[in-house]
Parts: sequence; structure tokens; C-alpha cells
Amino acid sequence: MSSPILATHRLVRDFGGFRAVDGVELAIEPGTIHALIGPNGAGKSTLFKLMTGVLRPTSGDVVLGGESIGGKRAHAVARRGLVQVFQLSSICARLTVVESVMVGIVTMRHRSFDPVTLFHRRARGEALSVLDQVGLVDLAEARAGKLSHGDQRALEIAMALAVRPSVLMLDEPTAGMSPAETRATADLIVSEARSRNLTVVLSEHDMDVVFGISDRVTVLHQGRVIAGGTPGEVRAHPEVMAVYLGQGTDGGEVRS
Amino acid sequence: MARFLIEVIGTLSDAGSLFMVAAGLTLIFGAMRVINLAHGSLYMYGAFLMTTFVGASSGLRFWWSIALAAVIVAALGAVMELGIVRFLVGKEPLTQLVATFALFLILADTALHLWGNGARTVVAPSSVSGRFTIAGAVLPVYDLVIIGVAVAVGIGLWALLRHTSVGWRIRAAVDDPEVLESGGVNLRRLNLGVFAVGALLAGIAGAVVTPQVSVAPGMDESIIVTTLLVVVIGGLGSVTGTALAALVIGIADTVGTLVAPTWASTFMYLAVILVLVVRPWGLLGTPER
Amino acid sequence: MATSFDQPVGAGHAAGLSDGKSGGAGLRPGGGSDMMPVRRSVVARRIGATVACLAVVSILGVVLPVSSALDLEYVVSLALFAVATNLLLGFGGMVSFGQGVFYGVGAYVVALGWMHHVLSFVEAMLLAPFAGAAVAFFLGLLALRTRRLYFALITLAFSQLGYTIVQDQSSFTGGSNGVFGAMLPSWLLDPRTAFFFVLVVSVVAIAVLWKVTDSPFGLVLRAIRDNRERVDAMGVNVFAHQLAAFVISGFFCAVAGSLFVVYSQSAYPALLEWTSSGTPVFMAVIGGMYLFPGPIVGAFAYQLANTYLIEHTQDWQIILGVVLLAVVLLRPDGLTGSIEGLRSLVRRSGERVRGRHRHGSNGTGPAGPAGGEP
Ligand SMILES: Nc1ncnc2c1ncn2[C@@H]1O[C@H](COP(=O)(O)OP(=O)(O)O)[C@@H](O)[C@H]1O
Ligand SMILES: [Mg+2]
Repeated sequence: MSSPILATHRLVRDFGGFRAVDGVELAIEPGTIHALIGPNGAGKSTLFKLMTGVLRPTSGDVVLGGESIGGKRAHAVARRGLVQVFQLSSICARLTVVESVMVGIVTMRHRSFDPVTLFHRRARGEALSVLDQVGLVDLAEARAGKLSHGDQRALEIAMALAVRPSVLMLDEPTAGMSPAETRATADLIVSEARSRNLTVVLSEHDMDVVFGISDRVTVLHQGRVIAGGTPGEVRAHPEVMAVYLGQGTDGGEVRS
Repeated sequence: MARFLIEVIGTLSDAGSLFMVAAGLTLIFGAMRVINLAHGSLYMYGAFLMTTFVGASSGLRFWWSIALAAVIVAALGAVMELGIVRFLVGKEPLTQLVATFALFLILADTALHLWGNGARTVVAPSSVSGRFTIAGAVLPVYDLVIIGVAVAVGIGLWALLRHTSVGWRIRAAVDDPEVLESGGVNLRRLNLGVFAVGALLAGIAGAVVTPQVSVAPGMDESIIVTTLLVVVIGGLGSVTGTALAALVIGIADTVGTLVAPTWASTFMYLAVILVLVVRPWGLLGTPER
Repeated sequence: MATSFDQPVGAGHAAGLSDGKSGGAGLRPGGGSDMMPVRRSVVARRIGATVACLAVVSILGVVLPVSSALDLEYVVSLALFAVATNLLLGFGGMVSFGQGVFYGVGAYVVALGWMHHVLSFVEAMLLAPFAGAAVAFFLGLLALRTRRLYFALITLAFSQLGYTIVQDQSSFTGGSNGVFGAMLPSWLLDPRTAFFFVLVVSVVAIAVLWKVTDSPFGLVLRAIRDNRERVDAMGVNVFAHQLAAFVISGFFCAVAGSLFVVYSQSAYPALLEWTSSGTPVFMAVIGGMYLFPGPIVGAFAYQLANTYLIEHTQDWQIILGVVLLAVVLLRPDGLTGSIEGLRSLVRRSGERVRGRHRHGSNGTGPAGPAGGEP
């Protein structure tokens, strides 16, 4: 077993008197797809934001590739290769689709303070090839704000891929998508993860997706990890059946 | 000691009139999340209307004129809300600033048509226009009137916000307009009422200060800047913060004038900037969502 | 007569730039092969429109009577002021009511350098922008701790702070009377020469600002404007970019302020006041802050209307107020935005025809980076 690329140690976050994340220990193996599941309000989004520096931990630490990043700001974390796609759709509405992706490319290439060169004309070609991978190349010149919900989610993944992350964090990437869009997104995640040797951490409500594509699953409940392991182990875990899967899909039956 | 007393009363009187104007602005912002650059114009209209109503006479008519001027300004505020301001709710800060600055321009030119560009004065009734001596300090009686009215306004606002259902609705609107709406509260009527009350406060302030200032065009511009600063350092939406900030500004101004007159205004602006740097959301404000 | 200036400038620029975005109504990119010619013709049209506008303004500077040429000279420098302010407003999403500070710093560096006999005119003109940038750096450090409305109001406080300092420290600054006098060197005394001096400096400065907006930096700035959390999560240091934009804007606002001295041979405290800071904001809003030439159009429309209306009516402020209300409530994208909107309507009806040809792009895309379309 290799050492984890991303890990949390006793991560805690309070909102006022409420403890949304309560001493979470996570270890993500490199090159895997790791799903985080749990009922609404379990603390998944908060945990994601703590790991990517959008929120400051109350206590505990996050370690990325051996380096402590707990408490570092989001842009500094992203620079180190940990990039997040938020749960709520979050795009740059007035930019075109291709421009949105170019932002990631100029950032990754450290060219965003470059006020003179024509670098962005080259970045454009790279951006189009990223868009090609997510199937948005036809919409390259459309305003991001005018895209459908599904296309916006795909664009967000493209924006994140543009910075060539080593770990990609996707918070409910298929929420609000049609079944066809969901399938396409799941395929995209798998193919990106395999072809780029990318580590993916995702939270997901669709159990078909979770058990279909993940290598590892961690279950969160009321801010705590209650189970973790391979999809098969987690599905068989009694506590998981009780608090989560029991009320889930198809009267408790979980298909894979 | 006498000197000290004079400065204290002077400062409190300045802070009091500032508080009355600023409380209206912050109340409106708190309930509607709209910043109104034409708030100073309402203050100026209160003052100009006062000069019209009082005329040459003094005595009892003075007090009735304050009430009348304030009510007319409140009505003007209601018209502004219905015509323009309600379309600014939920808009970008830039939209609100430009649109209410436009109202400021329109009201300024209209005032010029109505009252001309000369300076006007109002004489307070003899019962409150003299001076009195206490502990060797000779003080203008009218300072006490302003302080009294400001305190009354403060208590009235506090009672309104804490102890009436309207106040509850206003405070709830600050927290979450959607919840309020779904609870059956008519937000449009509430906004209209809040804006009119805010205008009323500006009108009262403008009318009350007339015996101590020369009423002239340009009043709107000078008061709105100070008012904005008071409201910002108090924390937008916080009435208590506004009272505190009015005192801070008043004290900074008085101390500045005593210590280094040519730097007094500079000190005041520096104080404002300092507060914002340390607390970007003002003394008692909450971060914008 | 007067208002006819803004037509060629506005229409020309807007037309030229909007083509850059996605192929104008007249262009029909069907596939990859003819894309390069399309791009070249877009660039050519943009340059053509710009040159035409410059030619018109230059000719007017020569043929107009001196007093009108002076009006035009002032408008040109204000256009620079508005474009520099719009780097924050339209491109950076930062509503600053404090740009008058940098405008005033630029003007006062030149005026005080002359009054205190410490700087020659040329030295002062060269120093002014750097003084503006330095002040902007320190004020930016403070102001960028706040957001949105608080940012607007803290910058407004800067304006008033600058105003009171200049007004109250009269032994050094000349106080509320300001600084007046024959501060121009002999080679600038001829009004036509001064006109072209202001024109050349403004055009060069605006060109540099265009380059800034049409660069990786400009792109990232627009992305921050739209969604700072998202861009932050992609690894962009939002604060550093906003500070850089603030400094660049301060630099060019100071250039505009120094040109004001060339125009008026004076500097006075009101240049720093919040209403003065508001002027370029209103110009940008009227002209349209989301297109690069918007503030230029706005400056021409605003200032020429001002000059003309003040002669003929006492109600200039009422008219300005009504126009501002109409723009901000009904046409939030301003004059150029409305033109752009019309064009895209035309384009969309065109697109329906060629919809089935859209087999996308193979590497280059039909258009260059949309520098003019933030
Ligand atoms: N900014 C916040 N302030 C206060 N409470 C919050 C905040 N963000 C999340 N919470 C609370 O933390 C808990 C976990 O939320 P979240 O992480 O969004 O859960 P999940 O993504 O698993 O649905 C919820 O009870 C939520 O109400
Ligand atoms: Mg969530």
C-alpha cells in the first residue's frame, strides 16, 4: 500500500456552537476514485471546503503529498494541485466557455500577471482541447452564463482540469442532471482519472454512480466517519445500512 | 471644567443630529439592503420646508413646522420608494449607488427651483433660543433641544424595533427576506413603510437643526458624506452601531479641532478608514452575505 | 454639432470589437479553413475603425475654433480617466468612488512642482503617474480588505480624505483656491499643440490599457469580477490581481489628471472630491462598462452633453439624473452594450440559418480572445 496523496487528521469545524465536521480522519490513495457519501447535512461539503482551504479548520490538519496545508488559503492549496468543483454551480457568467478554461491555463502556467505577451492566444488552443475532452467544444464561444445546468457542470470540471490538478474534488457533480448527463459525467470522471492518473474525491447521492465508479467509499454521518472501505465492504456495513442506505434507493436495495 | 462642559454639550448636539440622519439611512439599509445616496437630500428638504413653514413668525408655529416638514419629507420618501427605490432591491451596489445619485441630482436641481440658491435662516422660539449657565459654562439652550430630540428618536426606534410586530418584521427581514415572505408578510408594504420612516427621520433632523445652520443648497452633499461614514463605521444596518459611530465622529471632530484645527477633518476621515481596515464590516455590522 | 463626435467613435469601436467575439453579423465562419482570413479582417476592421475615429478627432482639433478644440481636448483626457476607472469597474468588478484621488494627485504633482519650483514640467509629467500608482498601492492595500458596497464607501472616504488634506494644508497646496498660473512650457503654449499633446498621450495610454485588458491578466481580472470564489479555488491570488489592477488604474488616472493641468493650467481640491470620483463612473455606466470602448463613448456623450446643456438650460443636473436612472434601470449595459445587444439579435437570427453547419472548431476557433468583451 502506497502512502496517501491526501489525508486529514482529526479535522474539526464548528459553526457557532454546531460541530459540522467532527474529528475526521481520511486517507486518499493516489490514482483512486474515492467517494464520500452520507445523508444531507452530514458535513460532506464542509469537509471538502476544509480540505481545499475555502474554509479554515477549527482544529486538525490536512496533508497533501506529505505537506501540511491545513489553514492555507484556497488559491495556495489549488497551486499545490488540489482543486475543487463546488456543489452549487459556480461559473464566470460573462466569460465565454473557452475563456473560462483559459483562466485555468494561464493560472497553471503562472502567466496571469503577464500583461504583454500573446500567451493567451496559445492558451486558447489548449483550452479547446480540454473542452473537447468534456464535450463542450461546440459551445466554446457561448457565454458561460447561457449554458444549460448540465453543460455548466461540465464546464466547471473543464475549468478544474485546466489547472492540471493532482487531486480533483467534485462535490455532487451530477446533482440536478438528467440520467443521460449523469452517465456521461460518470464516464468522464473515470476516463480522466485513468488517463491522467488523477486522484478524484467526490461526494455523490446517486448510488449507481458511487458503487459503479469508486475504488473506495467513506461514509460520513453527523460530521463523523462511520464506515470506510471498498464499495462491497461499505455496502455490507450494518451501521451504513441503518443510517444511510436503508432510507436510500429502491427500498434499501442497493444496486451496483 | 466649564470649557469641558461646553465641548461635551457641543459634541453631543452634533452627534445627535448626525445620529438622526444616519439612523434613517441604516434602518433602510438594514431592512431593504439598499444604500440611498439621496438621503441627504431628504434632510435638506426637511430644512428648506422648515424655512417655508416657519416664515417670519416664531413661537408655537415652530414646533408644528417641524412636524409638518418631517411628514412631508416622509411622503416624499414614500413616492421615491414607489417610483424608483423598490426596483433597486436586490440589485448590485453600483446600480443602487448610481440610481440614488441620480435622485440626488434631480432633487438638488428641483430644490434650486423651489427655494433659490440663497442661504436662509430660521429663528428658534425665544423659549429655546437663549443661553443658560451651569457650573460656569454658558451653553445654548437649543443644543439641549437637539440632544433631547435625538434621544427621543433613539428610544422611539429602539422601542419600534424591539417591541412591536413591525419591528420584529424589520429585524426578520434583515435575517432572511424569503422566510418572511413565505410567512405571509407583505414585503413591499414593509419596505415602503421602512423607507418612509427613514425619510421621516432625515426630515426631522433637517428641520430641527435649522436654527443652528444656514439653510442653503449644498447641505445635501455635505451631510450625505458624513452620514455615509457614520453608517459605515457603525456597521450598515445596525442602529446601535450608528449611535456609537455618530459619537465617535463627533468626538474625533471636537478633539481634532481642539488639537490641530487644520487637521481636524483629516483626522475624522483617517478614523473612518482605520475602523474599516480593522473591522471591514464596521463596528457592529455583520459581514455581507 | 457637438454630439456628432460620439457617433463615429462609439459606433466604430463597438462594431469593431464586437466582431472579435464570435464573428459579426456579416461574417459566416463555416469551418476551419477560412478562419484565419476572418480573423484578419476582424482585426483590420477594428484598426480601421480606430484610425478613422482618430482621424476625425484630429481633423476636428485643427479645424474647430480654439474654444471648441479645448472642449474636445478636455473630453479626450476625460475619456482616458473613464477608461482607467473602468479597468476596476467593468473589468475588475470593483466599484471605486475614489479615483478622483489619483486624478488629483496627477494634477497636483504637476501644479505643485511648478508652484514650488522643484520640478520642470516634463519631470512632473513623468513623475505624476508613478505618484498616482504609489498612492494607489497603499490605498489599495487598505481598501481591498473590504468588499462590494464597503469597498465603494471606503474609496469614497479616500476621496474626501484627499480633498480635505489638499483643502486644509493650504500653505503647501494653495488651499481651496487651488493652484493657478502659467505652468506650461513655451512649446505647449499654442492651443493646437496642446491639443495634440493631450490627444497623443491619451491615445497611447488608452492603447496600453487596451493591451492590459486583452492579456492573460485582463482575462483573469474579468474572471474574478464574475466569480471570485471560483477563481480563487483555481489557484488565482485574487487579492494580488485586484491590487495590481488598482495600481494600474491609479497610474493612468494620474496621467489623466496631469493632462487636466495641460488643459486648464490649474489644480484645485474639487478634483479629488467624491463627486469628481463619480464622474468617470457615470461615464462608464452611460457608455457601457462591459465593453472596452464603452467609457470612451460615455465620456464623449456625458461631457459634450454637459458643455452643451449648461449653455442652454439650468436643469443639466435633472437631465443627467434622468439619463442615469434610465440607463441603470433599463439599459444596464449602457450605450455600447445596447448596440452589442442589437448586433447579437441580428447574429442569432443568422445563426438559425447556419445552425446545422456548426461542427465546431479545430484548434484555432473563429475569433481571437475577446479583449473587448469582458
Ligand atoms: N456557513 C455555515 N454556517 C453555519 N452552518 C453551516 C454552514 N455551512 C454548513 N453548515 C451546516 O453544517 C452542516 C453540514 O453541512 P454540509 O457540509 O453542507 O453537508 P452536506 O454537504 O453533507 O449536505 C449542516 O447542518 C449545515 O447546516
Ligand atoms: Mg453538500
